[in-house]
Amino acid sequence: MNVNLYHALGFAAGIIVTLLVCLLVRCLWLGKLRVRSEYDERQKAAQGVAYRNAFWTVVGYMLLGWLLNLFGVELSASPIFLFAGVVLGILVYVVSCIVLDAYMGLNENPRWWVVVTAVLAAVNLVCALCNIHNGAVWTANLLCGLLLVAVLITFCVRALLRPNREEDEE
Amino acid sequence: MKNLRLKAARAAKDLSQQALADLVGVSRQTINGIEKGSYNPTIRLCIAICKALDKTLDELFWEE
Repeated sequence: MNVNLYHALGFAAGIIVTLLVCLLVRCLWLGKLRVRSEYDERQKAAQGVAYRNAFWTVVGYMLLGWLLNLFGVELSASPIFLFAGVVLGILVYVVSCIVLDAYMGLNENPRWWVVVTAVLAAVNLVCALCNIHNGAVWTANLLCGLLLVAVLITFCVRALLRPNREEDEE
Repeated sequence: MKNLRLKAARAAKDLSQQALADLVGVSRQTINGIEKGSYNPTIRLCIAICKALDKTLDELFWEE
């Protein structure tokens, strides 16, 4: 009886989630919730530079993994090593964009972005601490948390180093 | 090379970098980069800046 009840509840939850996802996609499709970042021409060019930096960083990381593999280190075959490469690429891209003033779009609110990133970093780090408590140190949560913290630090340092907004010479 | 003519034209209109950036739809850093000479704008942006400052392309961007 209980099994049937749980089955029915699970089925209902699946339908509800599907309906919510469909509603969200429909709203996005119609543009009601569309939040698209707008970048000017300099920012788009700077993002290209950042992408190139990230690409070559990941290539270098993969070469390092290949060399480690040659010397008998099996680290490069582990999923976390591959995931760390992705995280490293994202980190280089985002940091490059922030340094080149090309990360925040013209229509974006930096304070809102900082708050959301800080919350996401905290959630990931708490999950990572739970994983460490359970014996797993290097997890995706830890890498994502460290990535977000590094991005936040870069963003704050860049904001602090930037001269007064109305100052001409930067 | 610094674009002092752009800076002077902007100052003559009593516009800050942010105000000019808002007028032409770019970030303040982009206007700053053009004035400093560290960013080379497209002709589309040059025209938008000229229209915002009531100047010609020659007056703001032509190098003698």
